[in-house]
Amino acid sequence: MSATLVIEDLITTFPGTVRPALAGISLEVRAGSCTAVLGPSGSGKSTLLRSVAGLEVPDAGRVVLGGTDLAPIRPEQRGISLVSQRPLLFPHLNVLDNVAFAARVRGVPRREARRDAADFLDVVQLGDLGNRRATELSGGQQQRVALARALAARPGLLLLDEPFSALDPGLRTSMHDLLAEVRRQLSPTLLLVTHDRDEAVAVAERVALLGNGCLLQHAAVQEIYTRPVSLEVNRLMGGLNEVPGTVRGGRHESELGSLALPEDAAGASGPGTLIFRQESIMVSGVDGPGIPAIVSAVKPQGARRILTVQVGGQLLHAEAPWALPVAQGTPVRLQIPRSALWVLPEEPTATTTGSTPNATGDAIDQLVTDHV
Amino acid sequence: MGNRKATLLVLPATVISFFVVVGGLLAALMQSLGLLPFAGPPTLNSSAYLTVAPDLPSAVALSFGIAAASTLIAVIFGFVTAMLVMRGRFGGRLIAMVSTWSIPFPHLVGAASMGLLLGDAGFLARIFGTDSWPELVGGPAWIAVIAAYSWKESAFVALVVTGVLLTRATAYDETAALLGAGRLRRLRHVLVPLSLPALGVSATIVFVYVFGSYEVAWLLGRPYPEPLPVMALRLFSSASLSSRPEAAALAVVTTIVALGAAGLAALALRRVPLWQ
Repeated sequence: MSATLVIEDLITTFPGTVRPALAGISLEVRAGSCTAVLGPSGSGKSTLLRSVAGLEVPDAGRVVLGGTDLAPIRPEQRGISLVSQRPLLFPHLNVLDNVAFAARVRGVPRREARRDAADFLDVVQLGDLGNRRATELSGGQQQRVALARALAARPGLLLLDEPFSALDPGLRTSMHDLLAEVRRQLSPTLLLVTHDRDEAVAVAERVALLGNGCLLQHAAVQEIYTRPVSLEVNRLMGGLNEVPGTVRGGRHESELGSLALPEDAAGASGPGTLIFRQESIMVSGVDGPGIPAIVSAVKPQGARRILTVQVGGQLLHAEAPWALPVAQGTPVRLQIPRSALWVLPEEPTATTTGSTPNATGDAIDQLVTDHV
Repeated sequence: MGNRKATLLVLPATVISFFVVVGGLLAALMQSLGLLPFAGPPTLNSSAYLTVAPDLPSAVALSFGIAAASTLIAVIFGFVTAMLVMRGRFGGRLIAMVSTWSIPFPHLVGAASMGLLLGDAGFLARIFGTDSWPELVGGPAWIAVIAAYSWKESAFVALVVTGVLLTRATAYDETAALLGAGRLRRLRHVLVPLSLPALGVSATIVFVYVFGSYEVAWLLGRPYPEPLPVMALRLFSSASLSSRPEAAALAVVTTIVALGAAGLAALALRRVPLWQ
């Protein structure tokens, strides 16, 4: 029920447009793994999924599933299922027959198809709702049924196109847990499109970040957060801190002083932008250790607050708990763990990214292409 | 918009329709029962019904046959047209334009055109030879009549089904494809069930309309036997004023059969899962 997906130089252009929706995407999703395709609206996420499914015909490139080139194969014969934001349960069928749909169209007798469907309804914990009409279910239940129906088709690849984005946060969390349980039981290969970074982290082990139809980086979750290949990736992943300076002898020198870099970040000497996540900074009172700073703004963000602090002429952002007594003008101290530091060489333009010379080939396995 | 406001907005149209339909039916019923005589005192009697009774079975059967055949063909062609428009195949927009082109034409113009096309001295007969040309106009199978109604009403069916399917069928069609359903399976298991309510409603409207309309059958049909509405028209236009109650009796019978058909269709639709 799982196969490795390889996408090679996929280019898709919609009629009447000049800029391709996908501009040469290459990506590999190993069998049984889950990759989240992340990116802002209009970055080509859904087009990538539709091209893989065969619902859009790419201009160039290859989609290979389990060693088979899918180009000449119709969508219905590709062994790929899709769960989209809308559950799209067939309104003329009850829940059980929706899940049994794939078996029925394969020619499996009704009774056998329903027995099989009941097993998949059990997987999504809705075994007792088989006789209900699809329209009688809540949004979360409908999405579970849609997942069961897709799994019952026993696809080599399961595509999820923002399947939980219409659900409330609590329901979304329970769907993430359900998906983890499904992965434990059935090990499907998953390609999940989302615009929610937290969802990508919760569900997938790797993230493919798209921007303007280009693949900006494809890496493990922690890597893409802490070892981005460009400032654009850092910003798209929510990174707020960029400190210009110079790398010299394994240290970064800037307004923050001379900071020792971790081994994988201490590459060639020269101008480079130091980046680190706002979550990794430890903020303490003025008597604590670290770099002295002055709070210039405090912005609540859920259970924590984002502090804007000034270190000399450099503005930084740091997350702090509500318990820390800070306000505008409060002097604080900042500690930045060495392992959180990362340096990107100066980029020629703001919109063009390149592979980082100080990132090892193993750490970042996806080269960055120029924007079109 | 609240329910009350919506009710108030449709009230004028409803009142006028109610007045025309119910008023007309009551007048026909009263005239057929001798309660609206041209001369003399009104007397309740069933003589109009008894006079037309011998011709009723053949007239009802003929009207039913024409309406059923026309509806069936219109539904098939309308559904196929809707599918082609929806999938954008073979120039979906062109097909949509051509098929809906027939809607603004009056039935009488359509019937006359069909006569000029299918008659034994018509356009097609002149192309293919008149010697062996079948009796399509005024023939025993009422082919020109059925063809005219089917042509005109298939556009109506296509319009209704396309309107219902266009916004959602593509998504369901793609979902079914990615669950392994080929084109025919998608048609059978998804598109036909999704279209059933729209097909049922439009088929009922087409059937009731064809059953009760006279123009096409009057122009392209044979003189005898007559369909119900043609017979009613003939009696209504007769020089003898005593024929008016008989025409009214035929109108009442036509209405009863049409309402019965609509009622049966409503019952059948209630069994369609999507309608529920």
